[in-house]
Amino acid sequence: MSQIEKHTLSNKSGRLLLLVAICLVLLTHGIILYFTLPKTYDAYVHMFFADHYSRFWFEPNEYRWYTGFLTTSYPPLVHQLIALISKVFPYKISFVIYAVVVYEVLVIGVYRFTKLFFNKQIAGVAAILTVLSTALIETVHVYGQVPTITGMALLLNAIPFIYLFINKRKPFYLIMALSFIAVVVCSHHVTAIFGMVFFIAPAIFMALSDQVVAEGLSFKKYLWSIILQAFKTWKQIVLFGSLTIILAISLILPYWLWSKNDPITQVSIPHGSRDNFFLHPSSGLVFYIIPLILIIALLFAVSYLLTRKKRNIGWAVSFFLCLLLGSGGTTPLPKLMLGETAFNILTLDRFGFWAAIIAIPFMAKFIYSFLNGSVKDFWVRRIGERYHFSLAAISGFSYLVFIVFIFHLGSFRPLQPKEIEIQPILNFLNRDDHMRWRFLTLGFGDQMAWLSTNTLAASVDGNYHSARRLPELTSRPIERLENAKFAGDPGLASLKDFLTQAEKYNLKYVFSNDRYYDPLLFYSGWNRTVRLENGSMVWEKGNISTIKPIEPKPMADSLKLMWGIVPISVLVLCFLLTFYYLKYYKEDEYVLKSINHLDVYPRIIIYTSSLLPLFMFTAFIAYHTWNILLTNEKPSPTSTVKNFYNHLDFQSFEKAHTFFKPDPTYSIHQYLLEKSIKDGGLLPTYSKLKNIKTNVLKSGKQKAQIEVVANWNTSVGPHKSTDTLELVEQKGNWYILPPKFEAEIPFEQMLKYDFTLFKKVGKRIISSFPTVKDDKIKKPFIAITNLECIGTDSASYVVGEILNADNIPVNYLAYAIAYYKDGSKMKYYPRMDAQYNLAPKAVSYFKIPLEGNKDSIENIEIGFSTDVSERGYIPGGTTTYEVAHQDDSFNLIVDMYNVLPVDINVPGMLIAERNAKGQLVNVQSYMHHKSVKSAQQIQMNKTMRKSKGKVMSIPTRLFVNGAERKVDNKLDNQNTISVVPHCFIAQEMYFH
Amino acid sequence: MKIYIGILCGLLLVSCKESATKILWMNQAPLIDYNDAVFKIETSNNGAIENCYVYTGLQGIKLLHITNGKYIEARVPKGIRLFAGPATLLIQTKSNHSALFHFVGAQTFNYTAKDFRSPKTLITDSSLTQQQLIYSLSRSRNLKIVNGEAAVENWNDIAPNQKTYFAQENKKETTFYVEAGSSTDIQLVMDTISMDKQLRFRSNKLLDKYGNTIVDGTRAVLFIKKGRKKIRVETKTKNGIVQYAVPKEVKTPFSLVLEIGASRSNTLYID
Repeated sequence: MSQIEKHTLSNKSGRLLLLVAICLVLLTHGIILYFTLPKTYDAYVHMFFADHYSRFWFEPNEYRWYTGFLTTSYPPLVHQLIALISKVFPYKISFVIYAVVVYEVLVIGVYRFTKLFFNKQIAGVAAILTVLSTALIETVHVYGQVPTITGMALLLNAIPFIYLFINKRKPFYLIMALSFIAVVVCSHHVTAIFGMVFFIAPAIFMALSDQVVAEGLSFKKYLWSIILQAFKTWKQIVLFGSLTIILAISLILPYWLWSKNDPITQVSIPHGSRDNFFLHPSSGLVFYIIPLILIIALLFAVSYLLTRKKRNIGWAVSFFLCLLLGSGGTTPLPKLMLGETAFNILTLDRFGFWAAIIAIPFMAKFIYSFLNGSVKDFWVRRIGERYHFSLAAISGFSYLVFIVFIFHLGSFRPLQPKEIEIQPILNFLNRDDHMRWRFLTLGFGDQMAWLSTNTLAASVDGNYHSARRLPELTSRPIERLENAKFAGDPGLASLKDFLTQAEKYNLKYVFSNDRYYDPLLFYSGWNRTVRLENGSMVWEKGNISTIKPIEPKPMADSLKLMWGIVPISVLVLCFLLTFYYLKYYKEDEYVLKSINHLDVYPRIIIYTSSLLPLFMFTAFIAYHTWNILLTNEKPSPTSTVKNFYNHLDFQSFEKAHTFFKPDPTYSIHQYLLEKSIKDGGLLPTYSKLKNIKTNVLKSGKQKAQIEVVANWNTSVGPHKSTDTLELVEQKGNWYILPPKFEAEIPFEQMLKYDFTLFKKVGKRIISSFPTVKDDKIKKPFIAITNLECIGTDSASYVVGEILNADNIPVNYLAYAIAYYKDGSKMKYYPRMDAQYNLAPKAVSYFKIPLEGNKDSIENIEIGFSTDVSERGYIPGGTTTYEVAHQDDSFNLIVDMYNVLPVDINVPGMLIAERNAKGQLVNVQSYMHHKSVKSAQQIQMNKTMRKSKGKVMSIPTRLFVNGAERKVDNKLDNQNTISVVPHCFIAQEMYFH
Repeated sequence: MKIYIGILCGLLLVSCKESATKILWMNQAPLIDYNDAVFKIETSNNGAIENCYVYTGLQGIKLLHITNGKYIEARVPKGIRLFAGPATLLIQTKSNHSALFHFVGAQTFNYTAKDFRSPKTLITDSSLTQQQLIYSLSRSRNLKIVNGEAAVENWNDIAPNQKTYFAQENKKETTFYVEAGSSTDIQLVMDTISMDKQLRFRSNKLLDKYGNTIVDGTRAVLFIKKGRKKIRVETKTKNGIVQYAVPKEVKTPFSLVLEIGASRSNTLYID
């Protein structure tokens, strides 16, 4: 076959493979994306931005998240395009359409990019490899990062034009290159910035290299000749460089102005891509192994092909640099190279993504050789055609299984809560002007962005952390409030701030999809109002003001217009220019000189790169099969205990039961029955197991005794529990002996409990205007019967006794404004040491912690606003308590008898301490970890330090519902310790 | 290429053909007298106006509109009374343009403000300083202009003093209801011992200082003191009475006291 015939065949098969790749994108990603979309990290965030442009194209002020932010904080093109498509299709479909189209552009980009290195056949293989690249699949189907894909797709298409311009010096190529780069800039700024380093610089280097004769030159001389060539083409390089910089600055000028005027000053949010992957293998798996598995498998071949030709030196440097930076905190090098700040802001997995893109042409080259080139010939010679086919088939099949695994990664390792039907929430927000307040979601995952996309109601939270400016969020390493439980103590501290300072942010509603937060919400003064049809519970806080008009962040009208017009115009221009190029400028080959494609590999490369994929992919499948089917979970006493607790944590009770010694008298039914009677409460119902430690107390051949110390995280603080388990050995497995069960049978056969229900009848005139007077109901009044400002060595606070003087249950909001001697003032709210709902004539206590130096406080204003409460005034059961005083502590033995017909899930109490004069000196709450069943009793034994607080003589003023009131001081010197039950009851028999 | 440019120019020309209709509410004012509610509206094309609506707190009303020379007059149809308060004027044109104007309406005919205060609307709580907002309700719903710009509600606060009011006989009182204050005198007595020998206690009929029975559901706390132990039992009043049976497990002797809000009963000592 002649060279011309070969070339024509290569052209034809290359195009054919490209077509196959394009069809494959439609058939695979096009179909699957709609189903993987709800489980991605970012897809809903981009839809939210798209919704912003759909509603307010020329207005960058978005007030629905974080009390307002500018959408100029992210390049707009991708969101604007989805917004345009959404005018015809629903958002999810619009997103899928956009993502698939961009994926197609990326496939074409990779095809064109590969042509810079190899012939069209290889480029076609590269295009197919793009469809099957784990890095790309993960980016789209797990992360939902369409702007990254868009940026890369356009950048890859721009690179051949840059190459052509440097080599052929035709101005039209410059225009084409700049038009594509302009679209990259408007789509994804990070790709544009780093693309200059990792893609454009190597492309220019390669273009220069192709202008010099490299053969026979030493490396030094070669570099020198490149430098000389760069000087010869300095006009082109400078022109291209300066115009690119001008475009990058001018096209998204509002973005740069935003980042200059409002720089990101927040505590770094931990990201798995910055972990040391040896210490955190799960992070390594998700951010390095999965996206780069094919590259790791073919690393020897890729490295060989990259370094074989001098023209690829730039790409080799880029590739290895990206590979190194993508390894996160595994080595100290990325931090040293990027610097502390950039290292903590960037998500480093994107470097791995870029490495994967650079590697595609070279992987395609080796795969082609393996299937139809010299490598195939090698194996056929060695083991015959059949075995070579088998080798290829098994490697390919196991890689495809791996890809299926990535597609469903979100199902195997759930990154998001189950899909939540948002319509009931939308109906709730639209009803009764609920949109006049802010809301917060808990346990929604990234679906909170989907909720925001569909409503104009505002949330204090958000899902775009670069735009966060509220100090409660930026001062702590927490990504979102709604998943605070995964951010450890700082996350919960931030959530607590918002829940207690709800008035500050007009936060009135919480939609909770995770009962983990229930105790925190309840003890922070939130009331359950209704369970929606989707299972979410609506929590409400009374006495919260409506959202005040927000001052929009100032921005010149011309910039707003520019932000709305320029990106789309740039894209349209790019399209028109592409048509023009295809008609008048398109060349069959754009590489300056014919590239000698020697298809020869050293043996070591052939062996490693042919067998490593087979080994890696099959090992992966074998490992997971072993994990699922064949792991023995009971080989030793400690493993048995750890695996048992693991199953308990995930509520797999059937599996947990298999850890007990098989016994016909201890069936799964008996286990669950006993569990339902003795288990429950803060631990484990409202907690997450943090870690467990096992201590072997006794160890024998067939018997063992293990002490299990479990550390739990709950929304109201960490807890620790200690259990002792007896284990026996049976047929090589270790089993737990069921604990001895002692039934507690109450005296009563039938419990009865009656209480008075209250209902605010509400709107007697049907009206959408909430200020219609007919609906007004008087504010219930409360009396403060003791109020003291207390100072200790380390803290200061206000404590008081509160009486609901009204005939209806009251819900109150309390605050203390401390005026400091330097003229400043601060507003503080009670936290969990208060009872916010009081029955008619009920008496309780509260504590408002103050901050700062107590001696610098000049005076304090204490305020209360009240509202009618229909719920939440059943504080618990009958409480018997006995106090034993010691020198600097007191021991409190409390027996709580549950008189209610439902469980008391978190028995608790509010403890008020008085001094000898009868003045209140401290109020604190206590929550017990175990629940109390109906008609049963629990004993809580608590030793507490006596308060060292002293009453401070700070002038105080008391206001109730805006009117100044006096404190009706009722000093009780008979009871130094008073206990008020303060329990959380989960059952919705009547929202207590 | 020329074809593409031609199509683009054509699209631009077509899309710019229709000019927007500017709508102006001429007699725009923050407060409108509903008795003579005529809205004068001017547009560049009077014929373009299709519908005018007023949305008040209670209802949406389609206005009758007639062309009067250069402008349109839109008025409330006869027989319909507007509910005063915040409202929105919405004007729709044929090209689906709409203009929104917000205002507050009032009925400004003469009225006498009536004082609705009575003993029934005040909570005569003897233990506290009275503090309840009572307002005079006028037919214009107490709307007033401040500085000619905004309409505000006119509220009358009563001074925090105590006073006895008497209901007016033979006069209709529509929205009054009785609310009792705190109980003044609590007497706790032992009830008859029942057949099951359980100790039962009850209070006297709990009244406030004006003789009203205190409301059902009022929190009552019984403190049973037995040696160093203190048992706190929460219960509530029903028909003004608190009843409680001490569980058999609580053996005598013990003392018992009943607290309701800031009031406290006599202490019973049971041997």
